[in-house]
Amino acid sequence: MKSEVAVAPADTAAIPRQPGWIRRLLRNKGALVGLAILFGWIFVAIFAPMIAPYDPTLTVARARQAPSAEFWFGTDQLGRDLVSRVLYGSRISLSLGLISVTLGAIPGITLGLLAGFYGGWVDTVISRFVDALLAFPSILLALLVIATLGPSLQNVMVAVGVATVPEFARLTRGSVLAIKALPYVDAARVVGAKGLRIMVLHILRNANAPIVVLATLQVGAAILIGAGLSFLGLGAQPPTPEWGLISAEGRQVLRKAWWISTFPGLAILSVVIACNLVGDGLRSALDPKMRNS
Amino acid sequence: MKHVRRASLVSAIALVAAGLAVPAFAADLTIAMPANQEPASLDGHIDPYQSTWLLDSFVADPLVVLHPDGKYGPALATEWSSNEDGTEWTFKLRDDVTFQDGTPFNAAAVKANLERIAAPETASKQLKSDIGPFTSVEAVDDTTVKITYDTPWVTLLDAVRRTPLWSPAAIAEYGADFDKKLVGTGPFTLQEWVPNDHITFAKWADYGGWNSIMENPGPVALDTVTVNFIGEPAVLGSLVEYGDADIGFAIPAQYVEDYKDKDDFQFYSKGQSGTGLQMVMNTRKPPLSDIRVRKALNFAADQEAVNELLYDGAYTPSDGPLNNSHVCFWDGATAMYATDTEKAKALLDEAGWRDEDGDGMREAHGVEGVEDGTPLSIKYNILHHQEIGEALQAQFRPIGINLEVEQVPGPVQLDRVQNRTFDLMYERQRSPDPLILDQVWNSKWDEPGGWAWTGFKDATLDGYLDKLRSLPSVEARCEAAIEAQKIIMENALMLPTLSQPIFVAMRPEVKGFLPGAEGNWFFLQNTTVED
Repeated sequence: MKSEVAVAPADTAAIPRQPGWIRRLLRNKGALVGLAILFGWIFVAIFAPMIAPYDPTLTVARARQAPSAEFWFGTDQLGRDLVSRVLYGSRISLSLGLISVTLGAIPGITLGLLAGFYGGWVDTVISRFVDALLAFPSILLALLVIATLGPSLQNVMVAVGVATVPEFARLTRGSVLAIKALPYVDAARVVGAKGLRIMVLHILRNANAPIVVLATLQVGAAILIGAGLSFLGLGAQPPTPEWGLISAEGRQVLRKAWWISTFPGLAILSVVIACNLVGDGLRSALDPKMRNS
Repeated sequence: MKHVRRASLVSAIALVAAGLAVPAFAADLTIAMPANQEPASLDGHIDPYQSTWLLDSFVADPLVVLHPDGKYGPALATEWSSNEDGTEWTFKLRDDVTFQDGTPFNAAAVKANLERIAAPETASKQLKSDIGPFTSVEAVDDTTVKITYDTPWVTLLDAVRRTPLWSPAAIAEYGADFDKKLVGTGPFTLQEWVPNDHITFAKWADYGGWNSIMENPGPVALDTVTVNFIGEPAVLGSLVEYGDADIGFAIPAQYVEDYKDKDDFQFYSKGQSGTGLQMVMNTRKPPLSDIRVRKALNFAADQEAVNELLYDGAYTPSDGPLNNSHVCFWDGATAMYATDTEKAKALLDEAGWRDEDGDGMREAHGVEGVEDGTPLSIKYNILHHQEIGEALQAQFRPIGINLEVEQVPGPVQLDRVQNRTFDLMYERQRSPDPLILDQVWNSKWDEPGGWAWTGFKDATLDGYLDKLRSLPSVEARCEAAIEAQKIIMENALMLPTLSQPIFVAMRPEVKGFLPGAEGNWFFLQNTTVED
């Protein structure tokens, strides 16, 4: 005998459809401004050779010329066009931010995942190591790395990457600890899923929201640290058109030629603010608790 | 009674009037200097820099003083003489001098100082070689010192005028901390040294004015002198303008226009005789082991354009191993490497450094000791004036040379020299005497701690340089110096850049400030600051 149970159809129309995270992000005005600035700089970075009026390393005019119709940002102490140097500088600063955060995120996330998932002595060892790294301010940690490897742009990327490792490790560990206690992880284990599969497919995939937010914020921080190191002469070397280096070169004549330090400084400011705005927007868009706020 | 009151009133008015008519003198002087002039050790017996000896001269008078007109005058020595070949020097000392700790200044103290400088444990980095390898210092009597050499040492006066004479008792008392105490016979005592910040000197009330630079005998007018070391050129250039320093010493060229020909300030500039801001070449390894590459760099550089671009022409030319304002400058150096980029390119092509991959930069093709395809990169290390390196970098790039400009601190510079890991290294010596050529270019000083860095060895060159210590007349020494400069430039052992004048800005209230014969020297013995 076959029995049938009638199931009433759910009234889906009564449940308001939640907008996706992209839509929520785009509704955030701050994030929109940040995205516009970031995409603007990305465009500039890609097409710098076509946009920049001059070769950024060549002397094209008298030194320390004030901004004018011919040289919008003026010229630097070697007579190089500052517009061209700032535009080309976006290539270096953006790639420095992205590469160094990637370099920091991979080991950081891995360490956090292992610590949170396995717990016990693995967690203790990793957490103490991360605590030790966190004891140093990021810039100091980066300086230690530069002191060891020597000053260069590549080494700055490594240094800034190392400086971001503990942030990623700590955040990932916290997220993993929260997620691994959820029933679906137990369910995965019950159906025979092994450690690596659970870690990557069931835990990491569901912990990615705060990591993405942190990565976005860290890009801005990395650009700032990188520019700071170059400002100190430990990063990009002359004649590289790097924003921190250009600012440093202008500081000797700050009262006489304010524009040399000011325009690359504004460029750094705009990218860092944009990263922070996008990061904040992402946090709001991805955090379920903040969806309705 | 009325008369008395009136008289009092008149006296009071007269006193006020007198007070207005005669300027009052503030007793404190503040000098701002570039941070790179702060000594590592304040003991000039050890530290090798001119700024150290300058600061020491506030605390310790020398035996003889080099007057602004370039002539030697008496200080702690009243008279001096040498035998004809310069192997025996005799100094007659003052008999009325005591050190600031109350111990007597006499021949035994001079002997103790000279022997301390020569002692290996002192590790003197410069004065030892300047004073030279004397065989004996004899205190003939309390006021007579005789210094004897095996070889002629005609340049002793140039060394002793910079040599601070310290109290032997204080040296013994303070030991390794002596450079923070300094006890001499000079117009000031060392009051405080805060590293990386400032040094304060205080008037020594018992100073007798034992220096012919003094206009009046007795203590100086200033109560204190504070030397602030300023790391930021922009700040250094502005301190006098904003009233935060009485004197800005060695201000950046970009700030000269704020003070020059301005009624509100005093300003002077003075050249520094010496080597200029030269870059010496490491001839031990490629690419600079090849004379064609060395010559190419000289032909590629346009120093005049660099001067105009960076300093609006405020720096002075330095075309050879001695700068153009030096009394022994060889003017043939100017024409020898007149800027000619085509010649530079041809030399590099011939040396095997060609751009065959079309990337604009040259790479090695059949260069001995260099793997084919290695790009032509030359390290350019300086302690300061990075902008000159960058300007040269911009000039060299169009002909395919990658100049790697890096500013390094002094210890790193010496470490790279020691390890021979440099290509072009900044090396500047300042003196009106051509003897400095001997230190930089004589291969016998190519040793640990020596100042001959290029690795170039040539008996003829060394022969001319040896003469600089033995020929008594300046004219004869200049002739030898000129021959030496020819050889140095023919072998393109250095890349001359520019010579840096010293720019000094002062408040108008500063009176009696006396610049020395060299730009980087001055005297405060007669200085006052009107309040």
